[in-house]
Amino acid sequence: MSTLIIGLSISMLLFLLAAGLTLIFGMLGVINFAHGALYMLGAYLAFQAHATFGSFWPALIVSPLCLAAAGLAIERLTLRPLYPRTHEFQLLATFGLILVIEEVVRVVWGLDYRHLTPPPGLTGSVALFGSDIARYRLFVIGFGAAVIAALFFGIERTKLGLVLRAASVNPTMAATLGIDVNLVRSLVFALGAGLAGIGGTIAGPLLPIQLSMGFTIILDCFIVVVIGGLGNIKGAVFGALLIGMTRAFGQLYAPEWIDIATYVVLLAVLLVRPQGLFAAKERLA
Amino acid sequence: MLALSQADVFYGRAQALHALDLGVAPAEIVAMVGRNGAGKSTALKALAGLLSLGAGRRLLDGRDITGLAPHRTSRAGVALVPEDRQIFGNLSAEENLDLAAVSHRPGPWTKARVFALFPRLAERARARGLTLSGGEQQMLAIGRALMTNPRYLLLDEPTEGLAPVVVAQMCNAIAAIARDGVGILLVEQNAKVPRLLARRFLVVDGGRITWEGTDAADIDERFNPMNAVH
Ligand SMILES: Nc1ncnc2c1ncn2[C@@H]1O[C@H](COP(=O)(O)OP(=O)(O)O)[C@@H](O)[C@H]1O
Ligand SMILES: [Mg+2]
Repeated sequence: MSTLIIGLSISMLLFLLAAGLTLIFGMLGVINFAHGALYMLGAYLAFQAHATFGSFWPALIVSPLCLAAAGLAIERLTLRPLYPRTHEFQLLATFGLILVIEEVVRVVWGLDYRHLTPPPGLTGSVALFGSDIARYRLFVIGFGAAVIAALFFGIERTKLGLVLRAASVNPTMAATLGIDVNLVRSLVFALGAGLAGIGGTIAGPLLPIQLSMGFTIILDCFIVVVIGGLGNIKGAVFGALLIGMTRAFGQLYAPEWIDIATYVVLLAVLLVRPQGLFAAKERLA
Repeated sequence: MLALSQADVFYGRAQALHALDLGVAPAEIVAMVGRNGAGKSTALKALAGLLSLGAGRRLLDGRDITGLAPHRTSRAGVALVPEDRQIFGNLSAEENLDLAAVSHRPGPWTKARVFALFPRLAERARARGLTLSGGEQQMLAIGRALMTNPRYLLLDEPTEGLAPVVVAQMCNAIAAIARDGVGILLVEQNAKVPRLLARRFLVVDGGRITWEGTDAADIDERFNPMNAVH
């Protein structure tokens, strides 16, 4: 039972990042290699906010907002000038961002590990179905589920979601109908970065905050996104569950085989459905 | 008046429009006919801001809008119904209409009015775009353009590939839209439909206007590829 809970909490963390990656790819056509670095920056900002305000909750608001603002600036300053160029330029730009973000973090926070304590009500563990389960992991699962619900509601039921679904499929026609597609791109990148900020904050009490944390998790996120189908948010949910569970149960039964196991899952999915679990034509839908 | 003045348009180095002059006034239906590859779609895309002009100007009610981006052109009151309709297949018919209203102030056109114009769309409101028939897609494409409350409507071969009864329905709708005060630039490959609707005709060939007039009687000879005038 506790393995299941651990798996679910990992899945939620993976989803928060994979959702941003897949949304950004769906709308901008860019694979954001800097997504892990944004997540890492989010964790450090959460640490700073925690130290400043003395509590976890302000961090959960401040860090994502800062990341969203940074995302807005990054899209406008580094990606937008490159849209007329081929995709390699944008990939290179996101690679460059990793270097910049890592250097900023190194200069500001140094190389020491940092840690976040869970908020007061969420420390310790509860007995559930005969096993001890960390309260904070339950919170992560509930919070992640709420974010998933909010994202689906936003995409399926709001005007912005409608615009997103249309503009990601046919930006030219969307513009012909009066939609400012550049603005949509900025907002989507900001949303993706904000989700990475949420992910970084959530991860703070679970994992040590360090420079390499983004790189460690982003490989799994790429696998999640490819399994789900690039640009498909529903697919990201399933992919995250698949990889999260593989990690949790792998840790229990064959820790030295975990990384191999995630690649096996990826290969198995791609053999059965080369385009991922959900077809690209249903992007963001 | 929506107009191109001495407009050149290039695709790379190939010139598709040569010093093109054309204009449409409110409540007027102007027909532009010409064979495949003449430059009709290029002219409409240039008017919608989707292609930039190599030379010349684009004007809207006396204002120079030459460099105006497509989304701003739409907000200024110019709507394009493209040749291939470009319905969002992943959205329902109703969502396609809603989308067009997002960036525009409310005006005379509402979903209810579009459904009154094309009752078939009301029946198919919840169907996904990609499941609509050709006729339904064309109705939706026009309805969607109307949802932006345009003052000028650019129609690229709206009756292409439609059954005769749907063509008749489309003609009635186009006439009604113009009576409402909207200026319409109607592009077709033959004069059959334009002759029923338009007062003024342009024949375009090789990216140039080769004939312009109000007498549609002998227009067939003018645009028919067998007797094309150069
Ligand atoms: N995207 C494009 N790239 C290059 N050439 C194009 C493109 N679109 C159209 N053309 C060329 O421009 C000319 C006019 O095309 P078009 O405006 O589509 O003609 P029409 O709509 O009258 O059939 C043709 O010679 C066509 O081959
Ligand atoms: Mg054409």
